[in-house]
Formats: sequence, structure tokens, C-alpha cells
Amino acid sequence: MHPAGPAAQHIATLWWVMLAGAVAIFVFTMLLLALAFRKRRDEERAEQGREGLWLAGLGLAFPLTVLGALLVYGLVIGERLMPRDHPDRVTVSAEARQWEWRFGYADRPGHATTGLLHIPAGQPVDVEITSVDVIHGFWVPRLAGKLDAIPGHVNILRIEAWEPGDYAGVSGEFSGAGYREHRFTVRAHDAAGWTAFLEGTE
Amino acid sequence: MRDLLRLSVPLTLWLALFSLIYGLHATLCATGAEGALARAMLAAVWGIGVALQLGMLLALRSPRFGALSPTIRQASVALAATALFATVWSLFPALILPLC
Amino acid sequence: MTALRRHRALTKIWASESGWRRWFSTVNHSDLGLMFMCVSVFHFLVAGVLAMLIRAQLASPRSAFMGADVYNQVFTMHGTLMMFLFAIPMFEGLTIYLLPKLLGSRDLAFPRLTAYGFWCYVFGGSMLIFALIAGIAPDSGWFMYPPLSSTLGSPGINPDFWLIGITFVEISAISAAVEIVVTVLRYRAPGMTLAKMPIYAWYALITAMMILTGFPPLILGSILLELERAFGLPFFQVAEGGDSLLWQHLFWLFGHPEVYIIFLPAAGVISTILPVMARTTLLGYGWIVAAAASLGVLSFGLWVHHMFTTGIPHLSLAFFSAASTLVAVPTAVQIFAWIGTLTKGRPELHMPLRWILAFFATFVIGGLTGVMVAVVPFDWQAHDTHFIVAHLHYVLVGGFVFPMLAALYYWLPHITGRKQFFRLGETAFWLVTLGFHVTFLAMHWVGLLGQRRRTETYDPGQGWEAINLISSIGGFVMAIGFALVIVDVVVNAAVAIRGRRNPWRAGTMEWAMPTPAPAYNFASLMPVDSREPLHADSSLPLRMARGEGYLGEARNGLRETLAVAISTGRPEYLVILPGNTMLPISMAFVTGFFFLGLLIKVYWLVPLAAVGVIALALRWVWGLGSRQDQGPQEVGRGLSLPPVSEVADPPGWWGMLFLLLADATLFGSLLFGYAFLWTVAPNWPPPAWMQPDPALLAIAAAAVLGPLGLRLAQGALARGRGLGAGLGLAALGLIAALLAAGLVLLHLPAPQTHAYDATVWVLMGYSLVHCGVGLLMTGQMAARRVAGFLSPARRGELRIVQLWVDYATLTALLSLAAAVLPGVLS
Repeated sequence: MHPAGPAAQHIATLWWVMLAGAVAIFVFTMLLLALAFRKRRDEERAEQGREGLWLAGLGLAFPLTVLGALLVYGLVIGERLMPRDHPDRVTVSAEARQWEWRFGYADRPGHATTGLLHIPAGQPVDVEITSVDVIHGFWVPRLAGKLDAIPGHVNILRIEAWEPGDYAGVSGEFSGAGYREHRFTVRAHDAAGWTAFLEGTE
Repeated sequence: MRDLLRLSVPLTLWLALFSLIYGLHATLCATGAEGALARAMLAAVWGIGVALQLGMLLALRSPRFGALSPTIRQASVALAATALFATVWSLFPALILPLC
Repeated sequence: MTALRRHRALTKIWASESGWRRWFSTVNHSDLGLMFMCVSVFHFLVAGVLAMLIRAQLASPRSAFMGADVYNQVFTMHGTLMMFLFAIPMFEGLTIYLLPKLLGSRDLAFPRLTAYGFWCYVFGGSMLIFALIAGIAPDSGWFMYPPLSSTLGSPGINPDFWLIGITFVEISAISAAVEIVVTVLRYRAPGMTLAKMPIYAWYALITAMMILTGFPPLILGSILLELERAFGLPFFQVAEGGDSLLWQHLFWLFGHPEVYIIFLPAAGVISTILPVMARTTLLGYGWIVAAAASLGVLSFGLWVHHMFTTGIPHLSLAFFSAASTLVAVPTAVQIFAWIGTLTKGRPELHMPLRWILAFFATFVIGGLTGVMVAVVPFDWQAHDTHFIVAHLHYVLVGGFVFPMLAALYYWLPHITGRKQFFRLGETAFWLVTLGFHVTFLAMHWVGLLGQRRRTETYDPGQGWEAINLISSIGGFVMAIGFALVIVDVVVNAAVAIRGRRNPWRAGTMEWAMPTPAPAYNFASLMPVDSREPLHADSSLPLRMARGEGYLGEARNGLRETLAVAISTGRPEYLVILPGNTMLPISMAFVTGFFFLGLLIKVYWLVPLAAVGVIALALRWVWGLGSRQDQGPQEVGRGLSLPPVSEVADPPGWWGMLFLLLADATLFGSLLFGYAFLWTVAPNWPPPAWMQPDPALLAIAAAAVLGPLGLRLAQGALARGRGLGAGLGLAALGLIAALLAAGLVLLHLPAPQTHAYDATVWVLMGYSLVHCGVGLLMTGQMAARRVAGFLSPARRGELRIVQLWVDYATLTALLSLAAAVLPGVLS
């Protein structure tokens, strides 16, 4: 959980928010449970066994409020992570097979790399992901969430790295005996490095 | 048997609406039919669905269609309310999010 | 008659055989329920050992203990055994054992079907265990995604064991579900309305309905994948118009409801035990019924949330994300109803309540992480990491295993008739719960650090070593705890002292009988008009034993029980249940050959076994019914009821209705798959659509003679006339449907050509099987008329056949319409 791009950053924030909420709800529930065991008079017990409070209040209203807020928050973030139009967008392709990744570049037709994906830093990159054999998953944990590579389909994932550097990528969907070693690297270049890569003079 | 129907129809209707809107949306996207018409179709199905669920809820509360046993009545009204709510809640994204 | 003599007389009628034959010929629900539970615990232990192997492997980085090939088999089998051979059968076993007792009835609706299901489970399960021992177990993950699980990714026999073995086992789930639904609806104590049912019966009813609608998509998926693997029908191969995503839809259409199929019985156990432990009544009975039913239905709108990373449009994901968060609400209703029940009561901390508290602490965490992964963007990060593994163990162990342990300690005195004496259980409790939380809390964290599930090892230096070691240690502590539980149970069952009846002072009917339970359950069936009959009338057990209820006389050596009206519980007719027989095990055995032939690709064995199954099935139903009209029978308390053979809707009709519900779900899934491939799969349209041929349409139109003919026959029977004309017409209609399907198959290109051809092929195959069976049933009706089983009063079985033929004709016509629809549109 060391985000290095906007997508991973959003998700990391989401996680911390949800963790805090979950801990609070858990403690609250366990507290109610513990309170059930304290000693009381019978009238008090009857008083506390009201359906309205427990079912309509705690059972319905409480989770609906929390979940409604969370759902909207999740949808807003999800919408932000979508590969919508963007002026500086760069498009690359990723083709998975057992157990290798091949990458192609819209801005440098004909060039392909294996196991190493070059991208410009600071620019949104759309990765067009597909597979030629079984299902694989494209996942660079520090940059974004994962998206499956499915034979016959092309899925588009928006990634972006803030800083130049190398980021580890792995396959995110079980693919048989070579699954563990099915890795790749994403290399984010600065502006000069990216121009050099596109011109083939790196 | 009628009691079982009172209990099961509203949520089954939700399931049908859910599948219908999901399928309709997938078909619209697959055939490239984006735009106002597609949105209107989804919204119309959603609206009809909500109206049906509302009708169901009112019917189950009425003396004519409602259950005789208080427990079954309470449960069937609760289930109809759940179905109405589920229809509104789980399908509202069809109204606001971009289509495909 | 004294109570003791009544007990002896009834036992003589209801008891299973003595000696070794008992285990093979019994149809008694108590016996079969216990056998189900024991076999499922055996599978739990095997899967538990596999889990220990996994933790041993992951305890240290770069472990050389297992290679990827072995590891892949181990985790696949761990998941498969736990899900299919432990959790579901455990529910079936518990329900089969308890349900008639809770409902105040003598047995389940179809005792021989219970036995058949059990033996299918045993034989199917042993196929998978054999594969495990032989080292050729499935290895593509428990959800078996093609193309990895198809011939492309797994050319060996491994996935076939999964597809065929699990489908075989699912027969037991479907038959148990039909049985449970019909039992809850019709086999209750006289006067027990739906609203007076013990809460567990509601949960069992809802779970069984979910099995009937949730398992067929998986069964269909398995059939399609096996057809692809064995014969090259390209349902999941993209080049020929298939789509691997179709499997994911079918699998999760089953897979998510499955989670609730596992959770709901556990919730039913909690709703039953917790009020007893708190010495009070359940808070919000109606609310809980509504919550459980909503869970049951809402869970069918969640399946795509296992597919958030497959590139489905965000709006579609939004529907499922919304539905996934929504499903947490009925769960919350139940949780707070339970806490409210404890609060209004006076809780006593016995073993069952301890395990329920462990459930709360565990399941609430699992539910909260579940809400997290229902949020789409977070799932994109967490998907397929150990975070998910930890989450699902919190839900399944917390939401199923712990409540089942509560059930074990609660009902053990009922099963053994002894009281808990040795106190190993407390130690075991702490070992299991603490071990569990150490194992899986740690696993959340390592998942967030990026450790993927299903990788057999990892490199040092990523900060994962310590966490994994802690997790493994926790796992072994938990395993020791489970071993202690078993020792505790065995020791207490074997040597503890005899306990008194109803040790928990519960109010439900299962405690109104002597323990261990007699074969006949209740010496007489007492009217019930309370949810806690034993609290309403503490003399009830005594009065039942004295024969004050219905059917208090042991007569004619027949196993008699009552069927009641669905809503009101008014007694409606007298049922005679079948006695001990080897027929179920024989039929399961022959069914096994059917699946074995498919598995080892000895295809001549398959039709042979099918003929064997049909022969045994005909034998099975032949013995039912009666050759003469008997008229209303005395059932005690001054009431006379018609016997089961003389009613319009016998239990068999209801069983058929719910079986067809499952069948219709299978057919619906097939149509869904067809529509999915048509609209979503690349490489459509196929080389050629089938064109509607006028001759074909004419033949197909003649298929309506089937239902028509049976209605004629029904009318003729009511007036006491001959059935020849009606049954003849029906046969003609069915033959027309068979012919139409056959013609389509003749004109179709090879089914390997394109997914369209393969789909039409399956649709026609479906029609052939159903109309063929319909034809057999029609013929059998003619034979039974001649043999004297049918009369104007005895018309029920003809209505069962009518139901089947209606369904077969309808689906045959729909299949034809679906096959020619694209050709007509284009």
C-alpha cells in the first residue's frame, strides 16, 4: 500500500476510510453484545426488548445510512478511475499468454516489448488488455487496481505514475503452473526519456 | 399457497426487473445504442418497476389482498417494502451514471 | 394400549433393519441425517488436512515442501471439498435429521429419495477423494475458470473429476431440497400454521428454495464445460463463438447464492438456539422471516460482484455494487434481532452460546470486509489477494462452522441421550477461536501488502515472512482445537452418563420425544398452536406417548403420517411412507456407472447405465399407490381423512412441481447463456443460422397434442372411461416433439463448428430427454391403468405425469423457437 499514482491513491484513501468505519461499527456491535450480559431487573429487560429500536433502528436505518454513503462514495471514485477521454492520454496494449506479457505502443507502431512496459510519467495511460490463451490479470499494485485479460475481449485500464521509475507488475488471475512467476515491470519515463523511447533512441 | 405467493412475489419481481435492466443495458451497450433513447428506455423500465412494486405494497396492506395471519401479513408487507426499496436502490445508477 | 406397548409396536414398523444391512437399506431420516453429517465431517477433516498442508507450505518463503502442480491440486481440493462436500451436505444432514422432529411429524416426505441422495453424495464424493489420493485431482481453482480448466489449459483428466463428481453430488442437493420444501409445506404437526412454524423451518424452506434455483446454473455450466472438454463443443472457446465469461456468469450465478445457502441454515440454528440460551423468545419473528427471505432473493442479484475485474461496463458494476451493499441490510436486521433477544433475555453461557458469541465476533468482521469488497474500486485492488481469502474464511467459518459447532453442542444430548460430562469443549473452544483469528487477521494484512492467493510460495524481503509464519502457527493451533472438539464429542457420546430429556428446557417439538430419538419420532401426532409447544403445554410429551394425538394406533404394519394444508396446517390426508429397501442404494450405484462412464470415457457404459436407472425408476414408482379405492380412513381424535392415493395433489405432485422449478432454472440458464453468447461473445454471427422450415413448424405444432391428450385422459378417468384415446394422443404429441428435435439435429452442422450450433444441439438434446421421459411416463400410465392403479378416485399420479408433459412440451417449443429466432430476425 504505497500508492504511486492517482488510481492507487484513491483506492488507498478509500481503504483507510472503510477501515476506520469498520472498526467503529465492530466495536459498537461488540459493545451492544457485551451489554446484553449485564445484570438488570426484569422490567428493564422487557423495556430493552423493543422491536422498533433493535430492528427498525439498528437493523434497518443504521446500515442503510452507512451503506448509502459508502455506495455513492465508491461509485464516484469508480467513475473517476474510468478511462474517459483525456487530452494527454497515451494508449498501449498488453497481451498475456502462459506465462509472458507482450506490450505494444500506439505511438510507436510495430514496436513490441516483452515483460517490460514503457509509459510516460505524469500522463494518463490506457492499457488495452487481452489474452491469447487462458484468463490472466493485469495488476500493478502501486499504480492501479487490476483488470482481467480475457481471450477475445479487450479491456481498458487507466493507469498513471506520478514519478519516473520502475513499478513491479504481476498477473492477477490464477493461470496454472507458471502463475507465480508471471510478472512484468512498468517503466515510467520522464518527458525526455519517453520521447527517446518513441523515437527508438533510448 | 396464497400466503407463499404473498411472501415471494414482490422480491421475485425485483429479481426479474434487475435481470431485465441488466440485460437491457448489456444489449444496448453491445449494439452501440447509446444516447438519450437508451437512457429513456432504462428509466422507463425502472419507473414502471417502482410503480409495480408500490402497487404490490399497497395491495398487500389492503384487506382484500393482504394475508389473514398477522405474522404473515407483517412479513409480506416487510418483504414488499424491501422489494420496493431494493428496486429503487439497486437500479438508481441506471439514471445517473454514464451508460457504457 | 400402554405407552410402552405402543412404543414397541411402532418401533417394529418404523425401525431400520438390524445388523450390517441397516446402513444400506435404511430410509429413516434420523439414520440418514446422522450418516450425512458423519460423511460430511469426514470430508471436513480431509479438507482440513489439506489446509494444514497449505499453511505448512506458506509458513516460510521459498518453501520446497510442495511444487506448483501439487499445491494447485491441494488448494483446489481444499475449496471444493469444503464447499461442496462439507458445507452443503452438513446442512442437508442436519435438516434431514431435525426437520420432521421440529415440525412434529414422523418422517420426511420422500424417505427413499433421502437415501438415494445420500448414496449419490457418497459415490460422487469418493470419486473426488480417489482423484486426490491418485494425485490427479482438479487443479484449476475451486471455481474452475475456463479456458484454464478446459482442454486448452488442462488436457488431463483432472477437471473431469470436478465436473462429473460435483454434478453427481449435486443430485443429493437437489433431491434433499425438493424433500425439504415439500416436508415444510405439507408434513407439519396438525394445526401448525406457517406463522407457528419453528424458525428453523423457515430457514430450511428458504435455503432449499435457493438450492433449487441456485444449483442448476452450476449444473448447466458443468454440463457445457464437460461437453466442450469431451466432444469439443465450443461454448467457452472464443475462436468458435464461445466466451470464457459465460462460465463465470453461470458459476457465480450459483456461487453467490451458495454463500447464503451456507449462511442461512447457520442463521436458522442461531435463531433457534439463542432464545433458548437467553431463556426468552426470539425478538421479531416476522422480521426475521422477512429478512431471511430477502437475503434469499437478493443474493441472486449479486453474482457479478465476483467479476468486477472482468471489464464489464461500470454501470453494470454499479447495479451489482448497489445490490451487494443492500444485502448487508437483512443480515444486519438478523444480527441486531439476535443481540436484542439476548438483551431482553437472561443469557446463560453454555457451550452453544459460546460458539454463537464466537460467531458474532467473527462474522461481523467478515461482513464488514464483505461490504469493503462490494465497493468496486477497492475490489480492483484486493481481488485475488489473500485479503479475499481472509474475508471468505471469516464469513464461512464464522458464519457456518461456528454456528454448526453451537448446533453440535446443543443437539448432541438429543442424538446421544447423554449429557455433557467431560469439559474438553471449553479448551477446544479457545484453541479454535483464538487460532482462527490469529490465522486470518494476519492474512488480511499480507493480502493488502500484495500477496496473491494461489501462489505456492513467495520471495523473502517483501515483509511477508513474519505474517505468514504467525498465520501458519494460528492455523495449527486451530487444527488442534478441532481435533479436541472431536475427542470431546466421541468421549461424551461414548461414556458420559445418561441425561434427562430436554436438558436446555427448550420449547420446540424435537425435545418432546425420548432421546436418542425413536424411529417413529412421535407415538402420536398432537395438534400444535404455539411456536413453543412445550412451553405452552408441558404435558405434551406425555400425552403424545399415551397416544392422545392423531395416528396413535400402530396398525397394519404401515408407516403412517399426516399431510396438512399449506397455510393453515389443517390435516388433509393420510400418508403411507415406504419401508426399508435397497432400491435407493442400487439406483445410486447404477447412476454412478453413468457418471463413471463419462469420466473414464467408456461411452458405451453411459446409455447402458441410463437404461438401468430408468428400469429402477420404473420399479421405484410401480410399488406406490393402491389397487382399490379405500375411502376415508380413521386417523384418531374422531377424524377421518382420505388416503394419499385418493387425493388430487399427492406429495409426489408437489415434489414434481419443485423439481420442475429447478429444471426450469436450468433451462432458463441455458437460454441466458444463449442470449449472452449472441450479444456479447466476439465471433458471432455463426457461418449459418438455422432457417425455419415449414414442415418442421408443422410437426412442432403437433406437439401440443401432448398436454391436450393428457387432459382428455384426465377427463375420461374422472368419468371412469378408458384412457386409450387420451394417452394415445399424448404419445403422438410427444413423438412429434421428439421428431422435430431430431430433424433439427439432422440438419444442423456439426456442433463443433460454432457455439451457436453447439447451443442448438444442447437445446434439442434437452427436448429429446424431456419428451422421451414424458413418453415413458405416458406408457407407464397406460400400464398402471391396466393393472388397476388408476380409478376415478385415484387420479393423482396422472396429474403428476400431466405436469411433466406440460413442461416438456413447453420447453421443447421454446427450444425450437430459440433455435430459429436469429434466422427469422436476420
